[in-house]
Amino acid sequence: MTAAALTGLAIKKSFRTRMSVFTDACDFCAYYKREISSLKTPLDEILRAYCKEGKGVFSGIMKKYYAGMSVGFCNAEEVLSDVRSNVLRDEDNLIIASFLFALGKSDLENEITNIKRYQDVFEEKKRKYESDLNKKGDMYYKLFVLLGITLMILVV
Amino acid sequence: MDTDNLFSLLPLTFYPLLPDKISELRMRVGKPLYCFDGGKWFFVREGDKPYVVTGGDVAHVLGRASGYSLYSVTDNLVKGFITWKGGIRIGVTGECVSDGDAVFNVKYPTSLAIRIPCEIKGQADELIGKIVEGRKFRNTMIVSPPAGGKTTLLREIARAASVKGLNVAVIDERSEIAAVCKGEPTLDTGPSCDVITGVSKTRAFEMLVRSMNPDAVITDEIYGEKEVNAVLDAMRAGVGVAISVHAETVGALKDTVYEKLQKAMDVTVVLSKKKRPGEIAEIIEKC
Repeated sequence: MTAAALTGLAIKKSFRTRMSVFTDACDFCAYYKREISSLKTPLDEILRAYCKEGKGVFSGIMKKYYAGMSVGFCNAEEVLSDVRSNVLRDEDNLIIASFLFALGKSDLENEITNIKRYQDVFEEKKRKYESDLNKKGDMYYKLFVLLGITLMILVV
Repeated sequence: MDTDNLFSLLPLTFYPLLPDKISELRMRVGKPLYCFDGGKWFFVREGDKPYVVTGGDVAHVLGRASGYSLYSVTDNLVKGFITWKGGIRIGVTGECVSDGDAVFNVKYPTSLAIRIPCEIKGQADELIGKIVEGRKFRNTMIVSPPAGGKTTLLREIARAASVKGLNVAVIDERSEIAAVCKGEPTLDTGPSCDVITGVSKTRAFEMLVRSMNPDAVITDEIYGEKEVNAVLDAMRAGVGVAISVHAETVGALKDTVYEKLQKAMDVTVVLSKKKRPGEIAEIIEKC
């Protein structure tokens, strides 16, 4: 029963982690936009400051990206192979890799437009995982507890 | 010569190939790496063959110099250069995106000219006696061909005038005179010197004259009528100026927009690079 309950909790936690990744991604977009729109701060300085203070899965992804930036990435797939996170779905990993690959590649006006677009995508993902956490998270937890009880009764 | 800053800019593969002393590097995609050590130009060799520059090498340098962010350097890039730490100037050419005279971007950068500045302290010590009289800064023009040592001399004039107690302002549009990094000059321009960078010369002259009350304004490479008029305007306002223009001789300025500027100057210094960059060929003083 304990194992089933823990499985239910792990599923719930994965929804929470995904939600927090996209919450942090939205916050990063806001921070990045603020830094470049008034100060044109170079990307490496922004990432250095962000990685110093940031915690969590998204910050871990950013640290991996920052570490590989000096070598350079030819395309989003190369970024993906460096920053892939096991807690995220493939499509989410790809969105984040594309976002990272696009950073710093255009002039100020287009960079801000791009960031706004990605911020909207991240907001939508965040809302989806928030709703999954509230609806499915509890459901999976209860379902696995029930499954554990059923198995226990069957065994007894 | 600041090779530490230079090596932090270049791809790792360049390290074992380059000499200790470098004044200028030319990177052209698909062509051999060309180097100037202050005395002669030569192709950099990898074993028994010349090292051929790749698109990746150029992208690496541009990535490092821009902090991996095009938006932070677009303003300079469309003027044909980016500046790196220590006043290293990277001239950029390639396929540009433009509309008429307005350049929006360099789509495919293929050639880089990397120039490393040098400081020759004391270079202007003799000259400064002719330029500074008490608290008066005499208007000075430096005439020199490219890579003739104008910027080094201007930096020394700024430092020497500043040491004499004058309030000197440097307009460093390309971050070469003072090599400003995060707001702070990294090359010595003296104790009483203000540096403005990241702004056009015409705008900077206006800002300095109206708000900083300088005894002298020093700037490099005056180009075109707008900048000539900005200098004349500052002189009319009673501020001393030291500027430089590209030309082999004073005679070459005849019938150009720079002629009236030269005629308005108290001191004209002509540099020659026949023997070495920064060699003073002629000093013309207004009576």
